[in-house]
Amino acid sequence: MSSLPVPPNSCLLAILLLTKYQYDPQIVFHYPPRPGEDDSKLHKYLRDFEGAESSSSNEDSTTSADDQDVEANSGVKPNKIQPHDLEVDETGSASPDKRNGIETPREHSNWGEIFGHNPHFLAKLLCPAKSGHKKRFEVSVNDKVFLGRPAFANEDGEWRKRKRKTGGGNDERQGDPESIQMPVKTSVQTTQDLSETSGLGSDSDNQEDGISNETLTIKQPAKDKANELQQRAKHRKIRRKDNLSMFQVVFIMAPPPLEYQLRVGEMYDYVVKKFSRALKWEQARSSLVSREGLMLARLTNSFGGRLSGILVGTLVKLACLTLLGPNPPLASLYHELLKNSNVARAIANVYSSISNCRIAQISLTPDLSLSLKIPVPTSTAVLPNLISHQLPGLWLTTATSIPLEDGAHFSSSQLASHFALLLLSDLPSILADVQSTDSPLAEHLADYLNVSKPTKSFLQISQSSGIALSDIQHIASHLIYWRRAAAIPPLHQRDIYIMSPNADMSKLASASAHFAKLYPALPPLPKILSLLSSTPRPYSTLIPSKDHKEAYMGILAWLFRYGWVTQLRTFAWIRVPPHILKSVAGGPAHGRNGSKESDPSTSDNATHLHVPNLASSPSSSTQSSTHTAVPISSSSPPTSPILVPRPLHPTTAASAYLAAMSAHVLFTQGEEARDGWEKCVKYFDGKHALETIAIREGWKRKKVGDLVAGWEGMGFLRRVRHW
Amino acid sequence: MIKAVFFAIFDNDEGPKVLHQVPTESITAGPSSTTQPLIHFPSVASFLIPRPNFCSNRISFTHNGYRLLSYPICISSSTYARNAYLFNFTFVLDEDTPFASYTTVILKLASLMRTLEEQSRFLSKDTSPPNSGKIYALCEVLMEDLNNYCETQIPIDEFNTLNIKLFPTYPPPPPLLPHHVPLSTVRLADLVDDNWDLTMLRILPYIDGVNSVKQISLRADADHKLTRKAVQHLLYYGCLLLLDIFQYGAIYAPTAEIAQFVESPEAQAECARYVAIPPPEQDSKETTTTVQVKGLSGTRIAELYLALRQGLTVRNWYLEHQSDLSEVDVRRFITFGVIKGFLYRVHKYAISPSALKHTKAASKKQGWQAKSKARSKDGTVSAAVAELGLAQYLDGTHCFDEICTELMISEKDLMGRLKDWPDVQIIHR
Repeated sequence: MSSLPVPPNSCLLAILLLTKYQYDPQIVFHYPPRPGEDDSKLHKYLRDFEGAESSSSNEDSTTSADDQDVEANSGVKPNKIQPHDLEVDETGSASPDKRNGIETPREHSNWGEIFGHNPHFLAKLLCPAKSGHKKRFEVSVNDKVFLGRPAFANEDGEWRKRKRKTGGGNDERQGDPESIQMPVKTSVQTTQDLSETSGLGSDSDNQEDGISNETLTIKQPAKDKANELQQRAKHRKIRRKDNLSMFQVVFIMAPPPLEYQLRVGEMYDYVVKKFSRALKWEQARSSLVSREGLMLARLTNSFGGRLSGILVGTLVKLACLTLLGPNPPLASLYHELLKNSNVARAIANVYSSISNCRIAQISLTPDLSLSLKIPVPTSTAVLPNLISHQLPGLWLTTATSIPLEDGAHFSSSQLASHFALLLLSDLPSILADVQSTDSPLAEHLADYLNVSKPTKSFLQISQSSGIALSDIQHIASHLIYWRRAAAIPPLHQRDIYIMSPNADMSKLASASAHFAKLYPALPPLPKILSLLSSTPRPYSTLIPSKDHKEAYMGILAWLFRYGWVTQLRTFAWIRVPPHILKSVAGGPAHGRNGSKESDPSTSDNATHLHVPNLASSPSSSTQSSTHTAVPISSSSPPTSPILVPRPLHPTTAASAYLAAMSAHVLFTQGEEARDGWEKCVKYFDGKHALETIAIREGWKRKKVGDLVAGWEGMGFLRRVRHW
Repeated sequence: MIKAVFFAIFDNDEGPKVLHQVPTESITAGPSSTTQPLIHFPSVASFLIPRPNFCSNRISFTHNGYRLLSYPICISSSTYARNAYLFNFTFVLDEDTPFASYTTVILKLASLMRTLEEQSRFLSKDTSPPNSGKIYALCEVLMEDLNNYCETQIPIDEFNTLNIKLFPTYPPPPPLLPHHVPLSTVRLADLVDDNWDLTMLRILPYIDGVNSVKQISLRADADHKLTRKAVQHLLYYGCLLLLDIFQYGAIYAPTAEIAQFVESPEAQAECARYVAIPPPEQDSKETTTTVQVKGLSGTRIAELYLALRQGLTVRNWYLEHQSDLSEVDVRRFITFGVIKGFLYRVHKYAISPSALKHTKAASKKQGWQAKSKARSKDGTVSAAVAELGLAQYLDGTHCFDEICTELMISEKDLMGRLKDWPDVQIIHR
């Protein structure tokens, strides 16, 4: 049994930036300003600021669909400041007294402490030995985990490795042994360029397979080599002066004990490691951390300097300041810090995105931007029982897990072209987001979104619209990465859909209201669900007339989007009937067929069994038909039928049965059916949905349906339907 | 498994120092040693012997593929050379070992040692050479016992004994509803002793995989709330599974896990043993008998499971396969699938938008009183309030089992009463 998905929860409390110059390590920045305390007001204010900053770096559409839902539900929309607002904000009236909405509570006596620890001592604790370079750093004090990945300067105080290959502007990448995964995609240069500047973030490059989560784009403008060398020299000068010897971004988490390993592991793999690598890379390239670390310390000090002459540690000073200051200095300090430092802004952004389970889109320098996210489950194959953890509303399916032992030698990308795109929020809102970014990709995205249908696979859309398949897959993976869409098997009216056993019933009332607003002319949601929840039958039986088809397919997509329905897929095993067993055991025995009278217990309503269409004969899975039925009496073990578990790698006995069955198919149904049988055997392993045979083999659905129904009628197949 | 236990102090001359370690040379090794220590002590010494500010905190960290759990203690007193004595007992585990249960042990060990040190300078007076003496022996017994028995009892002196047990941490038990049917996974009767809770003793005989929580409390004549608590308690310790109420009118369908069952002859054999109706002379509760269903092969059992599907009640399924099922306990047949997770119960729900409005309006008008009255199911409650009782279950979150159990009516009665709401929709899920 595969493990059950857990609900997304980052357990993130705060992020610190720890730097060590010549002497003691120092926490130069941390976010949120008052970790572990309810600082919603302050935070909201800063988030506005942060939002404004990031929108200027094309981050507008990073909020995922579900976030929007959450925000819509809670009624709190982050009011993003428009660029012109921001200008006013920064130039004219950025004075602290304008922000008197943020009161600093004075009763906090333990100010400046971070979760009760003196920041100075905490910094020392969090400063690892040099042997920890680029290794996972994990220290927990009571229930809080401090997770980081320290980076140290070389022996000579340099951040760049000496050894360097000759080459153009590329060399620094090679120079750094742990060079960040660069966009691996080399094929469609145009789309890559487009995506870099697109509003949906600049990072779908290595998202083709949907597996890699690191998305990072480094624009390497065609700089002059001389120019670059000059810059490098400049940076080196700075570096000598400041001598940053170590830095570390520390993520503070409080995971529940039972989920400790999982949460900490995820945070490290998906966020800490990637973020630290990017900073290290940028430090080696442009001394970003050492420059900004100094600046952050200076800014904080200058704020405290007026009050305190003793150099204790920035945050202690900050503490005094906040206690004594007449204005809310913390807010203006953070305003300053965020305004001036890319690193600070990135940390703040990572904190607010990751702690809300969103995707963080950050840009450290104009040349380096990356996105970070902890993946959330999008589908599960396991239905939770009464005891296990519940995550209702999650799409219940096995369609997203392609069997490992895929006998068809069908590459996943090939199969992927037969998936369709299901938008997870409504088209107008996605289009609006896309258009608001005003990037060159927006037009392509909009073009595609306008022709995209959940009933049509990528391949079909490519053929009908003339957009290249690779482009479509690129855009689709982009939308999927940003949690705006999901890849599903194309919805088809002849497939069977049922109300998902994992549907979130507690949302039914609100969903019904939503549904009624969207589809006022159609039956209410409970009625539709009721229709979908009786005996499984093809979706087309629900559609009252041809004119309703489009509307009903629209509803189906809607139901899918919110996890109300799932597709019942058909799986089958090869069943070796007794007469084959006998014929293999005791020589040819074809004459036996049909001579037996049917056993009353095994005969079924035969009329159902001979309906040629696979999908419309739901009851045929019950028993074998009459025409070849042999007594499956529960008496003699050698004649009782067996199911072949792995038809692709059969045992000796099983391959003899398969050969006999193949011969029998040839004998009774002819050559074409035999060829079909030979081709289909590998799918009858209980892991391949029969619905995919038509796509994989390039046959018509009807052909597959007829063949399967025929074999089932002969008692050669045993079918089951699940998701 | 604990890989090592060691005792470190802040030595006034040498700084952080490991005094005793089990196994020897697992933490610090002499120059002539052939074994490689598990960790590099100097690089982690600052966590193990931290500044006094961080003492009396649980400090754990990972290093070199191991997780070190410790609780440094600093005792300030003028009797010590530098007015303070700083020590730490540390457990070394593999990095990916679940360690939640060890954290309390560390805390207990540290606080006992602190007391001993304050009382009699137990630690600081011990001048035995490294890896010998009382403290070393204590570490040794501690590690061996915890690894082998998960508990230990070490007498330290005539007044003090170290009693330690590793308690596993479990997730909180799931919400328990009156219609859930508990089924024990262990022989609860064998675990009982005199100290057990009275309600628990009362209800135990009725936990049989057939009775719902409500029925248990009624049959045992025990308070419903207490019954629920007792069952939840057993659930927490994993002694119970939860099932649904088995009825012939219920619908079960296979989940994706059915594939594993179909391809596993062992699981089929297990099933055959479980579902067989034992010969009449034996007590039906004895499940250990190795009765086999005559002539029902594993494949046939799998085929019977594959024949279950959405929209088909157990009754109709039974009628279709009567001849095969003559020697099969159908309830156990179905339950087996549910327990193993390859069958799921398709529950029925009733949804009525007008009933929802009705409930809202009524609860607004009459407040909590009416609701609680309706819940009490008192026979004298007026019809309107009783209907309100039903209305509150028609929002789609309450399945038929639950409604029938709560209102103590049969499904037929329920269907009859549902006719009062014209817009009611029945959903199977």
